[in-house]
Amino acid sequence: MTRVAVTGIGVVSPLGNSADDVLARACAGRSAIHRLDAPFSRRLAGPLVASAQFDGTEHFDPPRLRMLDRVSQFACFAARQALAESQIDLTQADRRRIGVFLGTGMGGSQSSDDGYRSLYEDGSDRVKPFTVLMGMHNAPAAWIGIEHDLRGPNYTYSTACSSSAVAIGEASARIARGDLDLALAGGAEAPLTFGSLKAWEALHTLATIDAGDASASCKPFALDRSGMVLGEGSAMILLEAWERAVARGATILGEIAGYGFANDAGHITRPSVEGQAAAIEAALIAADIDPLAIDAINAHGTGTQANDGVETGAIKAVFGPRAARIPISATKAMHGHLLGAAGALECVLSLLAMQRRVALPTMHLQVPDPECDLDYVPNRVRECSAARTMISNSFAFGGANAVLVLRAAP
Amino acid sequence: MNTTIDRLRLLLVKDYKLDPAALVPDAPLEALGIDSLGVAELMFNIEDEFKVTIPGDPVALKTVGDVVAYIDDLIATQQAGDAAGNVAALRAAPGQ
Repeated sequence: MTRVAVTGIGVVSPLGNSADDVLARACAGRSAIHRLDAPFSRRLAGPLVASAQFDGTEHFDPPRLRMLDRVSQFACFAARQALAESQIDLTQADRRRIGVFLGTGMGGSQSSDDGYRSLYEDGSDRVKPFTVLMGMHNAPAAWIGIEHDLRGPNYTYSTACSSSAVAIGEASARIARGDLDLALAGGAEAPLTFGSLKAWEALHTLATIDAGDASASCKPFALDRSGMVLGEGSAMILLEAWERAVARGATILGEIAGYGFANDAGHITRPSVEGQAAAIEAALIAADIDPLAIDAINAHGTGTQANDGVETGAIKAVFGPRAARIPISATKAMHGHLLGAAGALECVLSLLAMQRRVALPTMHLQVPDPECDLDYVPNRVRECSAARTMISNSFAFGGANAVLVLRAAP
Repeated sequence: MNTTIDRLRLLLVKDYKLDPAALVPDAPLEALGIDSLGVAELMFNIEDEFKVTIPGDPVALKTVGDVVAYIDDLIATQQAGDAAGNVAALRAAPGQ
């Protein structure tokens, strides 16, 4: 099996649209969660979002832009960044051996929302001709392939909130097996529409607004946590067979060392300690490492009542008494829950944190929950020079648990 | 009153950010970045702007001039149709 190097990182997120900006803001503990100021805000119980400051007109020609849902704009821009950073010369590559693996939970939800509005609210009998092309889940991956002439597998994964962790894991497995030379892998999500906010609200999973500070409304692992906040963006990384990356003198930013998946096969929403622990164990086995080798964890850490207690239990089940000494970061407190893009953004944050030799803070953890009694790096970034190997957890409705093992660059 | 090509130019400048000077009758749509799929969307916008209904039958439109001629043709046919429809409606309405 070939080792899998990460040689490029691209990101569009509530914390910024470059790896440097995202890391700086995460280290500073500056949440991007804010009150949503939209015409429909008054019809939401808690109008909170984490939006990306991104204007597609700056990055795409008008005829192309007219065909791109916001989710595809994010993905294409993140993929461009990853390719640029890698300094890869695609003209020298066999394009049939370059894949695109992208996760998204809701696809082009803005285009779907617009179509429904014109039919049901405006009473029109006409829907825009591009509605299908913009709304389909595989559009972001397809556009990346078109933009860079990538002719290998072009796959879209939709396992709700673990979609992009699955995409990165599946891509890395193919590179490790030697099926592909290169892969752009990650996820994208643009779910901040009235329709999807109402749907998530109806599930009673969204946070209530913190009375003193709206940006502090998502409080993973805290006793006073009330739920998650939807975010938007994309993270894409370029994966490359290790020897190939070394041979061309690429800067290696980190390594995807293992990937594990375990399905709950239980309840459609209720998480399970067994399922989450099984995914962590599967990832450790795939990476061929002992639990002792894990120095830090990026938690799924949604800030919902259901997840955080169960995830704490799963970490204890795998790591035993040592669990209390592993720094655990829940960065969704700052960037919100990017759903299908969450796993990719958190993978990127983990790689960047190891590069910077820090453990990122779990913000807004002022009131400890006796049930969540591990080291969540509360409220302040921490120097963590020993952290060279991490896991990043992504757990999803449907019971789709995915875990990545990440290693710092040598 | 603006001519059809003036109104089409305004539409293409607004939606596609095209240079008005490039929108001459001979200009190929493909060269303007409007491929066959783009034409499908353009037809949708033309329905809004010119208050016409595009028939389901596909037509080959290659240039800006082709689109102008097509719109003029639709306007002529459909306004004639509307007028005929109105007369029929008046005749059918009792006591009017």
